[in-house]
Amino acid sequence: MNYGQFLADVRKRGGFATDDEALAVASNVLMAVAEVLPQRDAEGITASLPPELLVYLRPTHAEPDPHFDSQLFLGWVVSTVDATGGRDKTGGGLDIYAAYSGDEAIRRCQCVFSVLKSLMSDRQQATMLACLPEEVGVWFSAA
Amino acid sequence: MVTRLDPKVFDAEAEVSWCPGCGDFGILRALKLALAELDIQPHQVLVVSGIGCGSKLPDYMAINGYMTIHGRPLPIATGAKLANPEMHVVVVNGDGDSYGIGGNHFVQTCRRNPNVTQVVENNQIYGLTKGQYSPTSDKGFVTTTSPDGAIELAFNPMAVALAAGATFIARAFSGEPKHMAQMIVEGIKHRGYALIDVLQPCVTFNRVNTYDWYRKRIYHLEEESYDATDREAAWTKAHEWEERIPLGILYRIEGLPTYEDQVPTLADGSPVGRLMELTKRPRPEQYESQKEQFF
Repeated sequence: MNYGQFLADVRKRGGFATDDEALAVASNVLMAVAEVLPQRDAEGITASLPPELLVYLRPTHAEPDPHFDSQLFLGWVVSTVDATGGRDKTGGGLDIYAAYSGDEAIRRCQCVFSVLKSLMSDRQQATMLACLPEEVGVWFSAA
Repeated sequence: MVTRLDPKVFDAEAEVSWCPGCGDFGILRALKLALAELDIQPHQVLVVSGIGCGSKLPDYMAINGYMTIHGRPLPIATGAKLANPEMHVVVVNGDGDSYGIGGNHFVQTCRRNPNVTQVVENNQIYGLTKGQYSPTSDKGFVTTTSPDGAIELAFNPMAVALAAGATFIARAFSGEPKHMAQMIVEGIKHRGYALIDVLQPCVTFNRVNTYDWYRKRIYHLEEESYDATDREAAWTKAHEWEERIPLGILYRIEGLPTYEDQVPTLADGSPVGRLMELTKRPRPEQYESQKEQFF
């Protein structure tokens, strides 16, 4: 699968309107993965991915922060969700967009994970699963 | 970080109501880790906050908590420390609460040097009130209250703290809880006022200063040959922003007296200490008089 096919697949599975939107989501998911990816595992996991994606998967530390959890992971992806609908949509103290942005972010994670998994061997998937925060691992497995 | 105490002792039952992915989650985690690392028991710490998303934090920890009115946690914390210097007092509040509404208290606390640790959740926006620009928003930052971009220059907490006489100034990133916990540990160990400014994305209302934005800019002073006792070097580092943003201890000077060291009426012990003494050797009339004062 080349880079163009990768983006087209993310766009289709996520229901995104443009390739730019698909890239924004994919790059943020991959950068979140990079936060938890030890250098020693990175090469093995990324070998089968389009080379254009590797810039996002470059590990940020030799050893990842062991306290980087699912909320921090989600933070990278929520940034791609229009959480306020462009203006304040507060209804009785509940911002109806922000309140459900987590569900949408998880859906976006899973859409990228599903494309990644289609490119990875079982062994690569197992290695990646071992790196992810526990809750993110559940999303990955279910994708 | 291998902690002495299980951080779970600080877990509370209250449901966390922050937005999914909020940087506050990293700060909550780091504070629990730091207290556990220092073997501080829940009853030995008071966390004082103000008003704002991040100021809900005391609700989410099993500790002594005090949510004050907007911008006032520092004077309340100083008072608590004077009443009971044995208590570890930590202030956790946002950039608006600390540098805006409580800006004067911030400056006075820097020069007073009480033995209080302040963790500022600096997301460069007012989140709880739905996204107005804050004192630390960069010039030109577009929000509902600055549709043509913020006019003012951003408040620089590191430089102001240094100029006002703060004895410990550090910066952390909420995306790196391990490093942040270490900064909080060092801040609590420091005798005197410690400021830990935490760069923290607001994932809902600040779409500029995201995790990615910070990741591309931050670097660690610990990885350079940096002398945190050099005031002039700290002044230079305090002004680094945009291209490169330093994390770590910018300035630290030890051995200066704290505010409570110098308050004459505390020379014979703290109010809480004196009260405890009275309860050990009760003199009923004094005890009753103290009770009336406090209750």
